[in-house]
Amino acid sequence: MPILRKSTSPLQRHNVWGVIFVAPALTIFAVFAFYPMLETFFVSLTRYDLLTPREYIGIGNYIRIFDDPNFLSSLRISAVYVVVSTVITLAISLGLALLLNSAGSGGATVVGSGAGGWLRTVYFFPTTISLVVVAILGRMVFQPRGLMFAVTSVFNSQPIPWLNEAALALSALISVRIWRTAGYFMVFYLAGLQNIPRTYYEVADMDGASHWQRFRSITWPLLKPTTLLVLVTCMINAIRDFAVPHVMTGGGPAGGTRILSILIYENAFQFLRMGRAAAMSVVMFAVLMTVTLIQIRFFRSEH
Amino acid sequence: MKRFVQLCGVVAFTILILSPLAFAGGSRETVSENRLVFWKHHHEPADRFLENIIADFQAENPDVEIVVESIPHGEYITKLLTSIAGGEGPDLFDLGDTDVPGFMARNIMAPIDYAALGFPSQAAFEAEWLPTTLDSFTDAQGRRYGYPIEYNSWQLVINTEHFREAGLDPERDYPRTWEDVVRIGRALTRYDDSGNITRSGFILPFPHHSGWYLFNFEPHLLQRGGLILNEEMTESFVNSPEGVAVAQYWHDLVYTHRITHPDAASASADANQDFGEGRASMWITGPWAVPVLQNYGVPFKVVSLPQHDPANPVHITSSWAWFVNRSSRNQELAWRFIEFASKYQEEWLTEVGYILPRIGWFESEAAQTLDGLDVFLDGMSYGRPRVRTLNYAEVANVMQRHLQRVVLQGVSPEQAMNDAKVEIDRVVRD
Repeated sequence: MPILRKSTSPLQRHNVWGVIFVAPALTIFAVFAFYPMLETFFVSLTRYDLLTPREYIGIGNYIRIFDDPNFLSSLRISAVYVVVSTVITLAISLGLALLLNSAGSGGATVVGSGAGGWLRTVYFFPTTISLVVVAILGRMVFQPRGLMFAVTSVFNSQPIPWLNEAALALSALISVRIWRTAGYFMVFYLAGLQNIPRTYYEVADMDGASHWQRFRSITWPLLKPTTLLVLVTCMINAIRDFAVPHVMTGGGPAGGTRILSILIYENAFQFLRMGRAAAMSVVMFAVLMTVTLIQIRFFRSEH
Repeated sequence: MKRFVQLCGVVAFTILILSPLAFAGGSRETVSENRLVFWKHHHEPADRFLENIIADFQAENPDVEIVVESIPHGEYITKLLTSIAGGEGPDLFDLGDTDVPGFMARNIMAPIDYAALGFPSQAAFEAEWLPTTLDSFTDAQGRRYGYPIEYNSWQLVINTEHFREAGLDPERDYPRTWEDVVRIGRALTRYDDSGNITRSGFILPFPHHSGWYLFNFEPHLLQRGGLILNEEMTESFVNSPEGVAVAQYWHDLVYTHRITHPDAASASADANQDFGEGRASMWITGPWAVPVLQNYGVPFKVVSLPQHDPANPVHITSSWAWFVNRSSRNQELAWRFIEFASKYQEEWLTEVGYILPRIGWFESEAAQTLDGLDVFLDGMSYGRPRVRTLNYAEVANVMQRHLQRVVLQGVSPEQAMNDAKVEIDRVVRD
């Protein structure tokens, strides 16, 4: 008996083959992503220290974390970290892509193709560096007598306490994140720009449109899907960021850069409060999912 | 039939993809009867010296393999606990006294095997050690678990060159009280043309591990009659007048007396580096740091920890011991190795700066070569152990954050200690 009967429609046959080919990846996803997510939720309902049996406590961990000023402070710090770094990364990566895109902008370009290729590599390079190396570099740059002090001492003889003042330390972390990821998302935008047909720009030129009008009426609307992708990916990566903040500031000074991932790590692996850490992870997941769905809906409705 | 074969193909393909992962999880390395895995916190001189001991042990026991993993201090406990939880823990590991209650409560360590160590009884073993030095590694039933390898009292180190440069005699003019630290610290502090501190007269552990905060804070608190926690470990007293006074003292060092500043400290992983490289003239540390400071080449002298009331000195002690994993299949071999390694008492001191608190060797010629040994030993005689709670890591984390608010942000010490008390109370009652 053939696997797909002749009586089935081509669409049905297509669907069945689709499921078959997706099955291995789906199985891996279920085992290594979906199951741990479910398990995290169950752990969040228990008191658990990794070494002794779990004790079911219902929603006790959720009540405890929403009553904990450290968790609420961590949520606020994470929100600043994610929103500021994402908005600036998005703007810079789009700006760099526009600058380097000679074909898609349909007109004069700042850099020629040879220099453009070289610059693309330069901007993309930070993405390829190990996260721990990035963090150590960040610490060296922002420490009291580091590179930033040397640069700013031209204007100000007082050292700026980049890593000793909470707001400045968070700015330093955000700067490092932008430096590390802007080149990566620039590549997304470059791909998006190169998919915009040149004819649109030619017609706009014939109509006498300015650069701004071309950007507002052609480039930006046609880059919406890319922007959605960049926005969602950038936000998810930012909220999951751990290695660089952990090594660079360790959540300090005075907890001023203790983003959610660091708080979860501390609770899980330093204080062995796995249940509480799991509850924080579930809340983080819920927040992220909500924000992502809002973004998708917003972009779809505009589209 | 063809459909069945195709389905089988897909299932087989899926299994093929997953099988390496499944086998990876199931194929734990075979445990050899003669292989010891030893984890320790990183301390360069100890790591180097341990290689020699292992070579000697293996020369006597050629069939034994010992694998040492030295892990940075900040990550050590996390790695150790998660590894043990995953069933992959080492046979042998070292552990500080503050982490012992948590490990004991989770039944991780094996009790000492006196026979394997070569002692006829527990009493015979206990007779070998200075009184109280085994207490931190003993449970409520009197069972001993840890073999002390490092016993510390925390004292002041002073840069003798800086003292002479400031017209002070390091042999005579070193500080006896915390007020002296301020007075002498002012003479030792150096500023640039803009008034920024280029050399701290006395330095606090600004960017370092939370444990360093308590090493500096707790002895001063005890000297004033304060406590971190009550005896039952159920309530914090850090916002007592004594706790606030110590936090105020730290605040004033930075903002009133200006003898140190966070921006004058490096963000190095080595807490001794600022003193070692001459950016600080006075610093509190333990005997294990003596070889580290000697490596830096800094001219220094160990003097007694400043006191609140010199007539009634109070010092703080800390200790590390070696433990055998209860799940290890090589426990007897592990204890044999421990006993072998501990015979190098004098070398542990001279090469590494570890004081093994076994009786009868402090007067030896080799023991006298450690700078400041008399000061460290004297401190031990007035020593009190650090606060012992199941939640030490969390308590230290809270204290670090709130003391950082005081010294980095200028927050009122009273406010910071009140906030710390609220947090610590929640931690210990959870």
